[in-house]
Amino acid sequence: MTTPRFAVVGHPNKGKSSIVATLAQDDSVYIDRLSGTTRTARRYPMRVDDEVLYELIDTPGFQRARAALAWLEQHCDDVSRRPKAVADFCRQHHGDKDFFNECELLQPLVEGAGIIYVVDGSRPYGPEYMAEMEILRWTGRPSLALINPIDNDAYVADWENALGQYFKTVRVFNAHWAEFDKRIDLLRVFGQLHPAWQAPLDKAVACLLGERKRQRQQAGELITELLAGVLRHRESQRVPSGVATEPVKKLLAKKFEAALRKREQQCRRRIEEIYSYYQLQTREAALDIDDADLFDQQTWYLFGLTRTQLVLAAAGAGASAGFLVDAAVGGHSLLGGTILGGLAGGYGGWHFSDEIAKFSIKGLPTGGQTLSFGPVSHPNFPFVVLGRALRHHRLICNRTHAVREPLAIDDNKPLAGFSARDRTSLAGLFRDLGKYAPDSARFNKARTALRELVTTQLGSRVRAGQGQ
Amino acid sequence: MRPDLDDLARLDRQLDADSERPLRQLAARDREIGRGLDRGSSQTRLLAWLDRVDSGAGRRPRLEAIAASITLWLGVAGLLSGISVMSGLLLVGRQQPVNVLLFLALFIGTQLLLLLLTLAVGIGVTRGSALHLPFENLNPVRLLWQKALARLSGALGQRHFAVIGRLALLRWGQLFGVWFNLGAAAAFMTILLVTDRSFGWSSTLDISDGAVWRLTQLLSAPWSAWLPAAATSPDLVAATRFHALQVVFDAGQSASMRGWWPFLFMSMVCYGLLPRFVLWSVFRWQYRRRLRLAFTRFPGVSLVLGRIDSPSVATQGEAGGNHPQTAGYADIGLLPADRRFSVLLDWAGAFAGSSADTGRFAMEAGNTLKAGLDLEADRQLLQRLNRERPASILIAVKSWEPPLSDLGDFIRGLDTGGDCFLLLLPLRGGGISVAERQDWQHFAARFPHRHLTVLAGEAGPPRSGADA
Repeated sequence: MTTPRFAVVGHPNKGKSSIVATLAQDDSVYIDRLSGTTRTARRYPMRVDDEVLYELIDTPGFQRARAALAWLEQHCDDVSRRPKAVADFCRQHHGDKDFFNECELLQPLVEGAGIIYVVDGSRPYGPEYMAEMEILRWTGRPSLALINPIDNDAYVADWENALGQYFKTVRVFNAHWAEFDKRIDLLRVFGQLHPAWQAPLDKAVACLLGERKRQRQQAGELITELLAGVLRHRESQRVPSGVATEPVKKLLAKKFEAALRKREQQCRRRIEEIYSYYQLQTREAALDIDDADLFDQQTWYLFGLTRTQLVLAAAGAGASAGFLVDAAVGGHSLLGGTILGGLAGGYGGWHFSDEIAKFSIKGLPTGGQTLSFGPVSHPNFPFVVLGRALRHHRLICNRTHAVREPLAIDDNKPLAGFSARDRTSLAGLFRDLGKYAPDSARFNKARTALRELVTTQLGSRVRAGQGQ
Repeated sequence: MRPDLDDLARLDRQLDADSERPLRQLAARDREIGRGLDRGSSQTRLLAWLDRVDSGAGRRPRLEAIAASITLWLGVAGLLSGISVMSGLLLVGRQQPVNVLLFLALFIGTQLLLLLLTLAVGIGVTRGSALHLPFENLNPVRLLWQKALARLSGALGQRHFAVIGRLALLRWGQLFGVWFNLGAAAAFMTILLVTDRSFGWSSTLDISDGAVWRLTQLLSAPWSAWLPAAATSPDLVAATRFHALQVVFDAGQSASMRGWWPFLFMSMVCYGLLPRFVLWSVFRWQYRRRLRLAFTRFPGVSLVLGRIDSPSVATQGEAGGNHPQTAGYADIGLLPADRRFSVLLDWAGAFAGSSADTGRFAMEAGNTLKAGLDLEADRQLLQRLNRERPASILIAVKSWEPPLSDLGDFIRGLDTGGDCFLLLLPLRGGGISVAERQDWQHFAARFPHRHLTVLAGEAGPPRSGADA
């Protein structure tokens, strides 16, 4: 079975490349407000593993449609031989720079591609389109006309009347605002153009729907990992005794913010890649960490021991020494040496711990402060992170690959739209994620529950955000 | 047995490296690997994937080697400790029998206490909220192990693998206990074989024979039914009581004193060796289980498995593509109010779609001509114009439509010797967008050999331009 192919053809600057970019989910398609930017045909196969289910072909616009039609009329007076005349035209003008565009766009049709004829619904119909449509009719290929209302839909009705005379199927499809469901519907229409194309297009639709579901699950996974990461993130630094701590505190706070921002941005870039956005520019407000009381300060002694550990160690050493005394007197001291030694050692450890911290051995300090910043304790913080992530996902999902404006995410508002019950569940899950070890059963249980909740939200929020 | 710690470290390293790679590259790679893998559990496929992507070119983590060394040395240390402690107890102060109560306190009581502590920690660890002991940082094995674990994920390692790390420590603790008890039991039997060491009981507390017998009866309850020889009797307890200062024992008493050893041996096995072995087995199983779970639930693993198992769906374009044009732009001016034109050409019905009036532009009556509709008519018009050689030609075009080569061919065909102007007419109800002006300026720049001026028909409010 031959692969269904669809050549997207039409007048220059009518959004052919935008439609291809949207349907092929390819943001590398060069799109410009100036006309004639598509100068050669480019293929966009839909591959599922090694199988190509259909192929879109973006083509340059007609430049000399009247001259091409004149040539065809001059070389063919038999209606049944019109498709062959078009093939002859391509063969004869191959390499001819005057008809380069016409050959580029007609060649796929000669090779069996279906026609997707694109017009702009915001501009009126004109007589110059007639020659184009007539040539396309000469090819005899299954065809569909798409009205792409680029600026507005002022002339959509006029176009429907005009196109209806040349095409059996006419659809309105806005390449910049088409939701995923509309793209899928359009592919289904492609499949109806020819009986042999139905099965591969149905399969393609099923694959794309499955892929969409996987994309959402993957996004849910990434957002869950982001939350699990930021809820546990902490920056620590040991400061030897005698070193000023204020500059270190400032540095730690900066490092902390940078690390959280990096985590969030990495998550976003990955989600964009999941939805095949590789060249997306974003304009986003930085994550606001409005929690001033994140510092923790602990004194450490003897290369990392806390005061309690130091006291215990000293007590143990004292008790050991006392035990030797007890042994020397044959146990007649009734473990008095051990007890006294332990007490003396413990007291010494506690009393002189600050002094011990000031010692240095071969230049290495024996004590100081451990400064740490984070994790963020404000209960609203994970809700803000989740809200930002969900908003970003919704914008990505509802965007088409034809849009070239930067993606704007410019708020730091907490999460909205969750029910009180969901918020309570989320608060519990956030608490568990921050509290339990990441390889513990409780942590995994919380992570799984959060992933399910987030993935469900992603689906509902995309639907809710459609058409915005 | 895989996955082991090295696999976990390799997985961590690989996922970290993958986070910097484009997703489509990863998708293609992982699907390619996935299609070559046999169906099996997630763990099996993940291991096979890891072996393919991380072929060992990088540095081997060697965590398993460290763990094996710790296991070996702890086993040796436990064995030697058991032998030493037992030898010390049995061989020191040979003029008196070994005090059974001291023996039980040392080898049973202490160990039971440690077992209870281990159980408390173990339950906490498996629940995810590990009980932290105040002196655990003094454990040299723990320090060594934490340092090794830090290799897993750099700074993240210790916290991320908290449960696995602690289970490893618990497992080693029990392993030490098993070998300690084995060493002690071996030393016990050896010393009894080669010496005439005897046992009795003595206490400074006021303990009756009956109380000791009941204690020993309670301790021997697990085996007394099937191994009565290893149980004590009231006679034995009564006969083997001695005082701290007693150094002379009669023959009957000395013979009885040897009768304790089966009970003591079974006590060591039942309350020392066996619980240690059982706990070691449980912690070992838990450790393996957690390791497997950590491997398959590692952050990012579900994304890998998704890429391995799901068909690779790609809709993007093949290599190539179109790029911006670099041609220049002609100047654009406003239509001068007092300018007279010899001929006005209405190209492709431009006036029909615009609100502009033809009477405003053509000053010589009857010189408004239609063009751009019929190719043959255009040829005849060209011949006429070239014959009549008007001083100036104004070609009114639709600013909202892109310039085509069709028009370019007509302009090239003009050989009047006069001036030629392109008049951009705005769409009815709108103005001329910047992109539309640029488009026509760009078009005019293609005719450097003739003076072609672009004029904006009406200033009007600029409209947003169309995409390609």
